[in-house]
Amino acid sequence: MLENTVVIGIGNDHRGDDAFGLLTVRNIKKIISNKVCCYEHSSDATGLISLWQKEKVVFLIDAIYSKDPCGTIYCLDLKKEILPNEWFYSTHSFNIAQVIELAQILDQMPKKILLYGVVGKNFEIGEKISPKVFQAIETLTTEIIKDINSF
Amino acid sequence: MTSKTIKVDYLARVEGEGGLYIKVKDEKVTEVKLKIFEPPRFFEAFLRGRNFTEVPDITARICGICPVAYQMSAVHAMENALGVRVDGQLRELRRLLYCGEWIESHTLHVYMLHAPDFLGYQSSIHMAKDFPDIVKQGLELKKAGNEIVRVVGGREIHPINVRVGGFYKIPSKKDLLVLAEKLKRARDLALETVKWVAKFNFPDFTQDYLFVSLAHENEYPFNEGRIVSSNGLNIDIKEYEDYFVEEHVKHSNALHSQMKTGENYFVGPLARYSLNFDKLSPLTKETALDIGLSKTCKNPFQSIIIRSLEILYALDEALRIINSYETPEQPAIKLEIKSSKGYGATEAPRGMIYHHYKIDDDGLVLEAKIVPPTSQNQKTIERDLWNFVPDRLDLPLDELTWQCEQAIRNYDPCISCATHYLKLTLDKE
Repeated sequence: MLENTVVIGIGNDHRGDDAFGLLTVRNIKKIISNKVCCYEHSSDATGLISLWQKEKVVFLIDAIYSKDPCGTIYCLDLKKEILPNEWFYSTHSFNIAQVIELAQILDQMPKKILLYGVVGKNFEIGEKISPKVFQAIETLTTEIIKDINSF
Repeated sequence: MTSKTIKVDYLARVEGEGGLYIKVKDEKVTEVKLKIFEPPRFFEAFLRGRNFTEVPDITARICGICPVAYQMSAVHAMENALGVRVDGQLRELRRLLYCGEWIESHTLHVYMLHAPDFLGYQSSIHMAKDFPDIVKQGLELKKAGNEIVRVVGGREIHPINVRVGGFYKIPSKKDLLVLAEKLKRARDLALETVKWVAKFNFPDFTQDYLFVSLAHENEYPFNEGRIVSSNGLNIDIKEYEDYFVEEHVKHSNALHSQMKTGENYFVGPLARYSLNFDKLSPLTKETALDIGLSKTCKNPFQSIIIRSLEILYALDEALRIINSYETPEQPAIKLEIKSSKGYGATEAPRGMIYHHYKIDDDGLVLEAKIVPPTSQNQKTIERDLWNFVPDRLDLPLDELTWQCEQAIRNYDPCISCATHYLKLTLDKE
């Protein structure tokens, strides 16, 4: 078990591409649940702080809004790079970029925190996940497990 | 002739997406529109053809803030349809789960969404720079609610352990006793929260509201009760549609609810508190009276105090349930499927939520109707603004706009639920 390593998939199963983070973390859990803590998160993002504040390494996975082609994968080190606010749509008062800012102010950032984002195009309720976003699940699962094992 | 327009294109610190437009002509308010432009989500249509067992988890997805309210209303409506009643410790566990959701949701609103209004900050992120310990306190309190939902509901968000007839898995007494230790500390924080918000400055804005909430013979309402009002209504939940009606208005994608007699009404913490004060725990009642609150509250700006008192109550109630908990023999009762109709209403943090379903012999949903609290409060929010603005027309436009937004946030509107949202425009000629 890699103590203090946590993987958090963010999203909503019923909003098309927004399911990406949840599906990916479930995939990771199937393969290496014995090694890391895996969480699914679907509510206001302030709850994320309680999931990571004592952890040393955090992997966040979410679908993002961007003009880039659907399925484009981003990986950002949030201790070094600024998270674009416009990447996130949240119906729940706080998005991830705002919560990262709050965690920085409160000195509650983990030692290391990486965001893996995939550009989605369809976030409507009841829609299916886009094929290119679906393909990214396997790609990122492999990539994240590789990264986890490298720590 | 003079005119003024108050316009907020995108209301901040509310859940979902909406706006506000107010027009003032010759020092009189001539138009108020709470615009909810988040697209309709057609959940009711989405449910048709699904098995009744799926409904609690699907409806829970309507809202990430109050999934328990949707789950509980759905399971109660389905159990009503099937003619069964969940009682004893299973009922207590459901009540405990609801305590968790109230603590999570109310704490989010008190600390992160509403307190910045009273302290003059644009957001809680700005507030956190000057008051980091206060914001940390809020996050710690909210976490106590998360813990309850995790232990009883199976995970912190969108609990997966609830089913029609009971639960999939029941927690042990040991699990709950570990939880109780954390809740005792949280109850101290809740008490501090009440005392903190009670010191805020509140605009003098007492209104004559028609309050509506559930009321139960022996307890402050979460999961069940009769529908009562401040003007004497006292009906069974299944009679809801005989007395209340929804209508479509052009400027909103959320339906507006009103009494069939044409009156707007008010659901939520103020209504619950004012109609059920005597059912609060002794500590909560004593605290309310100590800070100078009376047994009814008709100033919506003081809703932050009532929410804080309800957090305190929820923690008291959670500890009471845990102390007397005995592990049930079965996690759920048996169900026999039959063609029928069922009705359920519970008290979401924002107010009463009503569900009605019709299922066939195979348990498939034929009809679904969901009326969330924000839909029910929309007309009252607009009415507040009609009454709030005239006495404040001398304020600079930005100050007036800020206060109008605050008047909306008094309701902790959940626009995603109501469509389910909000942006503000003040038009002053």
